[in-house]
Amino acid sequence: MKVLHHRQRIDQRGTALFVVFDPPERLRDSLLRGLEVPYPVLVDRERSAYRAWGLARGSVLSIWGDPHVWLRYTSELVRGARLRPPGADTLQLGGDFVVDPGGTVVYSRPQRRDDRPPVAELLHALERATTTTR
Amino acid sequence: MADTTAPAVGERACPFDLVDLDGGRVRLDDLRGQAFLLVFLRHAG
Repeated sequence: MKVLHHRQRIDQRGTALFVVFDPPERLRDSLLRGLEVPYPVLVDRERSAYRAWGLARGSVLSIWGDPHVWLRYTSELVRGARLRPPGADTLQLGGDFVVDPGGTVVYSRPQRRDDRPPVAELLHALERATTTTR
Repeated sequence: MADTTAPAVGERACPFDLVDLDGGRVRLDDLRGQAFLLVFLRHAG
């Protein structure tokens, strides 16, 4: 949720929403612990929105066999992060999208492996979504 | 397995109707008129 560090830029252009599938109690004890999220965190336990937006489950090999995953966890440990127990489904992939004021997708980046886009890329897409519709 | 492929740039956003952590309902149509970033997270761990 690194994008939260850029709240001002987001608010200048629109808003953000987060979609999760874990139960709220698990979220409050892990991902959201000590974190203030000024945007809606939508709970999709049935993953209907995940499916509708084309977000599948990855394979064990594509997720846990990816050296980038291990590198990321290692670097977080080195920085002092506390590893949390994995959620109920570590294979569910996420994705990042930007939608313009007219409801058209202007940025689409479903995950295929552990490869979230840089935050700057998302913010740039959000900024373009409002400048091109004027 | 996903039902569909992800919407591509230029396509209409897929409708959604979900409840947030505070119990409020948010639908795609509620966001008409403003741009938004939609982030689907992976597991909470």
